[in-house]
This record gives sequence, structure tokens and C-alpha cells, in this order.
Amino acid sequence: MLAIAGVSGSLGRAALLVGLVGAVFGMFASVMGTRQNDEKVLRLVPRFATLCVVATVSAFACMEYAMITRDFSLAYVQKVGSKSTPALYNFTAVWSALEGSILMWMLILAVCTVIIAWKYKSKLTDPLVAWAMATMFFVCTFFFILTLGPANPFGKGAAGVLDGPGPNPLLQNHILVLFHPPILYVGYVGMTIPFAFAIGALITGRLGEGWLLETRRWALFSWGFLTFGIILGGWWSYEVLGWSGVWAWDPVENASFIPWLTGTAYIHSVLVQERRGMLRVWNLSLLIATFSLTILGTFLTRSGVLNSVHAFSNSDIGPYLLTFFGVIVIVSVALIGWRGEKLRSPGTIDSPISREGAFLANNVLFGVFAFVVLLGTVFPLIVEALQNRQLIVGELFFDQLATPIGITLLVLMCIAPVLPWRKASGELLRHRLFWPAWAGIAALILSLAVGAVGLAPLLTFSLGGFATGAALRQLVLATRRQGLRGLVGRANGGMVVHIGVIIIAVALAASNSYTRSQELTLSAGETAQYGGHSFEFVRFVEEKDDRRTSVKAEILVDGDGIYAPAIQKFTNMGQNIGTPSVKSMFSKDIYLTLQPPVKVSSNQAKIKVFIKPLMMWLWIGGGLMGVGTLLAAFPGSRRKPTDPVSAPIAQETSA
Amino acid sequence: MRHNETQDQAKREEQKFLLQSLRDLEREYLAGDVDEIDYQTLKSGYIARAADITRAIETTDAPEPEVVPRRVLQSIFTVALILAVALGAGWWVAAQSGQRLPGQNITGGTPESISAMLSQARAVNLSDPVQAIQLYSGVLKIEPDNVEALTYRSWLLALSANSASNSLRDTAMATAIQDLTTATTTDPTYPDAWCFLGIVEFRFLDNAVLAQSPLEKCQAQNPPHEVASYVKAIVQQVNEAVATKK
Repeated sequence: MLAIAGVSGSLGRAALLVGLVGAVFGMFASVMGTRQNDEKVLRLVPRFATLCVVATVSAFACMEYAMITRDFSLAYVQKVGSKSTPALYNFTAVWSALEGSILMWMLILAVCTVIIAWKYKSKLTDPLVAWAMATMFFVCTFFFILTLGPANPFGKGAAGVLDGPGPNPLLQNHILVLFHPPILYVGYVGMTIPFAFAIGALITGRLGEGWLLETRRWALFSWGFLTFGIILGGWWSYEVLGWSGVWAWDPVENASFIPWLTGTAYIHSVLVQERRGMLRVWNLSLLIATFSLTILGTFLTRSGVLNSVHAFSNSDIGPYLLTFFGVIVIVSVALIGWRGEKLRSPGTIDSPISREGAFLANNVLFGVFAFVVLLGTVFPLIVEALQNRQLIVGELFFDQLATPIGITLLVLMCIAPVLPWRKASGELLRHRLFWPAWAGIAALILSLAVGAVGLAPLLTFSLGGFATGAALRQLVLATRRQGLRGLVGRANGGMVVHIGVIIIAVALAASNSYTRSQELTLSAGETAQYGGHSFEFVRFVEEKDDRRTSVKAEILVDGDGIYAPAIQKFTNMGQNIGTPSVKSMFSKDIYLTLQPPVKVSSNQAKIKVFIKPLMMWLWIGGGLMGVGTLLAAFPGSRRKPTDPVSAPIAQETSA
Repeated sequence: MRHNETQDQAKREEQKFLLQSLRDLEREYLAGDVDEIDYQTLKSGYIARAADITRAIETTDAPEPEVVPRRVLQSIFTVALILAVALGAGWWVAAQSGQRLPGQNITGGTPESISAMLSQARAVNLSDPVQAIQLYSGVLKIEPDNVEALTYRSWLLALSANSASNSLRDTAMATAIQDLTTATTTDPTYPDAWCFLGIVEFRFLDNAVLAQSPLEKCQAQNPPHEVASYVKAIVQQVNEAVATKK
């Protein structure tokens, strides 16, 4: 078995080396082919991309094989593998630590590269596409170097090791670990594609709007995956960590949120460039910032800098990532400076009360939001590096920032969908905002009627109603004209995404403002009342297997269902992990955790109960955002006129 | 020459984009995606830009499409505004920051997580034992019978105090022995606590007899491979010491 295992490690290393060669050759073929206008050389580019993807898939397969067969000759398997880890978590253990997650990044990047190479195979003679490919291969080369050097997953381990600790217990406690990291990574890595085309456009000086059409859908897909990944991360946090929240502004969350903010700004402002030819520098900057921030986020979360600023220089990967980030930023800024005059837009915004004015305001808000979250995240690191003081920027700072920006964004979502391009008259706005405004008033009355209090949540509910009205107005008009096909397309798909965002905003406002919690100490058979619900402690249940022991407290909630919060102990790690149990309803969640220390012999359990309103709507809103993104991405080209399902368009006054 | 070719290609691409956009706009209008007001506005914009670029392509010495001149005052105002926002944000974040305690992240307010604190403590066990001891103490505040924290805090305490003055050393060793004993009682299957108990008794307190039983229990619990050979060696030394005393 060990002989086979050794082969698995060698094969993996060899595959990565082949991939590196493919990436380097692909980069040179793209550059030399386009500089010498040599079609023969350019035709090799898709083949090098294929070589990269075959190599990376092989390396990933070798890693999975090593993990599945418990090949403890590899240092990485010694670190995260274990004989007792169940098959599912053993499979996901591959991306549970640094080396494996960089390998997964490489896999997704290679797949993106090969898709682009083959999709644009016939356009490779176009210098813009060739330079975009060269950029993709350059990024691939960097990540291959990482996987062969500081983040080598195939490094040999100490001799004679026959078992390992397994992945972090928190990563073997919920099935979401199978989906959340890969989906988030697709979002991160996918941003390489629009970035590569932006660099191609800057190098070739083809800075008009043509290249945008090539990349808009890629950016939208990546944004969709990033969104979905972040929402799944919140869900995982809620289901696994036991503190009843979904978002705590920790640095890892911020690292994913900052590029999401700049990406969101981009998918709005790109429309202004496409329609009016404006915001060219801004859009390029947003794309470059989004990609750079994914690398910065990886540096923050993977270099060890979060444990100590001074630890990162000792880490193998930190200096590589920081250097790569620096190179990207310097080269991109230099290219934008070089092309400065060409990037100046042919038009200006005629009126702030216009669609482009609203998009600009939206971009300013997202830009400020991203900047301040980034500042809050790196500020403690800068202070520690300069003054050796260990600081924390707490949740309050980010909440104080997010609340006004979130509410202002809701205001924009009320108005922007009804604004025309160039300028709007007061009469037009009055007409178009009539029903949405009534929806806002109705939402406010309903909120007050059910007992909602507090300025921020009431504003959120009211504006949420208003913004939903504005989005629904657009969808109703579209479906009245075209039936269900009216839901398809970027404008209307975008409105579905807006409704998803509004639902999430309302759910967050409700759960953050009105969550109540109480600790209940119950003996077996005892019942307590809290928040209009009854909780009866039935008994403790102890379970044990090779991997862990667990103590569950069975709680009968409202007399009609057993919920069992637990504390598990993973024997290899010696850690106690709390596992919450949740009763989910449309109106609220009842979230139960078992509080340590647990003394089974005492037959007495300390339970913490959280009553959290509207939590289920967070996930429903997230799902709706996903559906809306898909609707916005299809059809890829604008609607063809061959199937005129729509009636002639009514004049605005009848809308 | 190549520069001119690129320029020309860029213009043609822009023209193609604008003409395509006009066709797309017609489709969107017919399908009902774009209303009358937006249709007229966007159409006139596309036509004007397409006409400009077509003129630039057809007449080689035609002037470039009109670009809005740079407004110096506006640029100064924009830069000043950005600087003001940046400085304001910097001041605000500085005012909102506070001393970071063991177990806390650099940002955010996740309640102190035991697993996170243990993970950090493991990372600094060797490099910064004082911080590791603080982290383990943080864990024990939340979960007083956490076996890993009891075990490793005791071990680091014993290591640190071994070269201290007599009274301090005695107090530290007594605390370490007490906590290690609590750890072995709480979870008799955890080998690390037995190993450290034996090692502290033998190496630091020179008591081979009291070290013998914990070390045997450590071996019986299958300690991690990387320390197994060390434990085996120390058991041998303990056995020899006990035999010599007899």
C-alpha cells in the first residue's frame, strides 16, 4: 500500500510540474504569437490550456486518492487525514487546510483557463484575446509555483506515521463543508477572467466598450458564485458554530465580503459604460480591485498574518501572495496611467436624477463600504507592524458603518429601477413611484401593527416595502408584456436579485433587532416556558465512535418535536464542539445550544434558547438572489425578435 | 504604424459595438425590456456616438471623437473629497479600535470560540508560551474542565517555572500537578495528560516512583507517533531509576 501511496505523491508532483510547464509555454505562446502575428503559435494556446487542466485534474485526483486511501506518507495527509474520518469529510479534507485549498484554487483556475481558451479559439489572433490568455496563464503560473513550492500538498511526511488527527472538527460537522468552500472559490477565481480581459484591453489600447460584452457574463457568474458562497458561509456559521449568528465581521468573512462589494459595484456600473460610454477608468479599476482583493483576502486568511503580523514573514506562502498582490496592483495602475487619455469618457452625466446618476451613487456607496471594511480589517495589522500593539476593530465599528450605508442603498433600490437614462422629470417620478411608495407605507403600517419598534428596523421594513414595490412594478410590466419570459434578461433578472437582497435586509434587521435569548437549567422531565414556547428536557443521550464522543440533550419543544443540541468531543483533537439544534419556521427560528460543562450523571442540562425572527427568510432571499442571477445571465445575447411574444408597448402614461 | 493599426482597430471595434448596441436596443424595445423614454434616449446617444466614430474612421485626418475636457476644479474637489473620506475613516477606525485580548480575532465580534483559542494556542505553544498560557486560561474560563487546556497550560507552566526561584517553582509545579491530575480524571483516555504528568514528576520533581504509573498509562493510551519514541525512552529511564532506588 505504501508503494502505491508513494506513487500517488510522485504522480501528483509530476502532474503539477507538467501543469507549470503548460502554463509557462501557454503564456509565451500567447505573447509571442500575438507580437509576431503567428497564427500557428497562437493555435497552440488552447492545447497548453488543456495540458494545464489535465495536469491539475490529475494532481487533484492524486490528492483525493491519497486522502481516500489514507496515504500517510504525505505530510498533508498526516496533517488533515485520519483513519476514523467518515468518507464525506475525508473527501472534503482535501480543501480543509492551506495546501489543499490552493490546489483546489489551481484546479478551478485551470478549468476557467481552458474554457476561455476553447471558447475564444477562433479569436486568438485578436491581440486583446491573446493578451487576456497570457494574463490567465500568468496567474496559472503563479499558482502552479505555489503548489510546487510553499503550498506543496505532495510534500513527504515523517516516516512511520500511521494515522493523523483528521480535519478541524468544525470542518467535519456539517455537509455544507462540501459546498461552501468550492462555491466561494469559483467566485474568487472566476474574477480572473474579467480581470484578464481588462488587462488585455489596457495593453492593446482597445478601451472602448467591445471587450465589456465579452466579460460581462463571466463577471456576473463569478459574482453569483461569490454571493452564493458567502450566503452558504453564513448558513454554515449558523448551523455549526453555535453562537446563533450568521455574520460577525471576522477577518475571514471580511476577506470574502470586500471583493463582493467591488464586484457588485462593477455589475451595476458596467451598464453605464455599455449604455452611455462613461466610467471607463472606474470600471477597469473596479475589476482590477476585485481581482486584487481576492488575492489580498487569500493573503490575509492563509499567510498566518492574522495570528501575528510577525508570523507571516516566517510563513512559506505569505511573502509570495503579498508580492503577487503588489505586482498586480503596480502593473495595473501603471497600465491605467499609461492609457489615461484614451480612457477619458466621451460623455458626462446630464442629471443626478437619472439611471446613470443612481448607478454612480450606488458605486460611491459600495466603494466607500469596501474601503472602510478593508481599512477596518487591515488597521490592526498595520498598527501591530508599526507599533507592536495588538488591536481589535470590533463588530460595533462595522455595524455602525453597515446600517446607514445599507439603508441608503435601500433608498436607491426604491428609486433607481424607475429612473430613465439621462434625466427624469418630477412628473415621471411621481407617476412611477406612486405604487411603490404605497407599498412602503403599507409595510410600515404592517410592521407597527405586529409590534415592531426601533428606528433602524422600521426604516428597513418600510424602505424594503418601497423597494420591493419598485422591483415588482418592473417585473409586472415585463410579465404583462411578455408573460413569464419577462422574468428573463438582465434588467428583470436584476429585479429578482433586488427582491432577494431586500428580503435578506429585512430578515437581518428583524433577527438583529428582535432576537431574545435565555439560559434554562432543566432537570430530566422538567419543563420551562420562554418566549411563548415550552421546553422539556427529556434525557441525555451519549454516543461514541472511533472519532468522537457526543452528549445530546433531547428537548421537547412545544410538546411536538424533539430537538437535540449536543456537545461533541473529537478524540484526536481533544476539542469540545457545540452543535446547535434549530426548529425553523417561516416566522422565526428556535435555536438551542447545550452549554458546557455537561455532567450526564447529574441529569441536569443547561440549555441556551434563542428566539430569532425571520431567519428562514435569509436563506430564501439568498436562493432568490441565485435565481435572479441566473435569469440575468440568460439569454446571453439580447433578446431576438423572432418570437414577438410581447404586445406592442404601451405608452408610459398607461404603465 | 502598428500604433495606427491598433488605433484603427479600436475605432472599428467601437463602431461595431455601437451598431450592435443599436440593433440590440431595437430588439429590447420590441420585446418590451426597454420603455419608450429610455429607448429614445439611448438610441439618440448610440447614433451620435456611432456617427462620430464612423467619421473618424472614414476621414483619416478627422478629429478624434469629442472628449469632455478635464475640469481642474472638479478634479481638485474630487481628490479633496476622497482624501477627506479616507482621513475621516482612518480617524474613525482608530477611535473604534481597542486592545485585543487572547482568543480574539483582529476584527469582529464572534463570541470567543474555544476551538479558535485552542488552535491559536497550539500555534504559539513553542514560540510564545506566555501567550499560549493566556489562551489556555481563556479556554478554562469558558470551559473549566477542558482537558487540552488543562494539560498544556500545566505543561507550559512547569516548563517556564523550572528555572525559577524555589518558592515560585514549588507553587507552579504544585499547580501543574493538580491540573494534570484533574485532566487525567476528567478524561482518562487522553494520553497527553498522563505523559506530561509522568514527565513533570520525573524530570522536574525527580520522583521516578510517582512518574512510573502515569507514563505507563500514557503508553497504554497510544500517544501520538511523534512523541511515542520519546515516551518509550523516558519510561526506560524511569524504570532504571526505580530499580536503582530499590
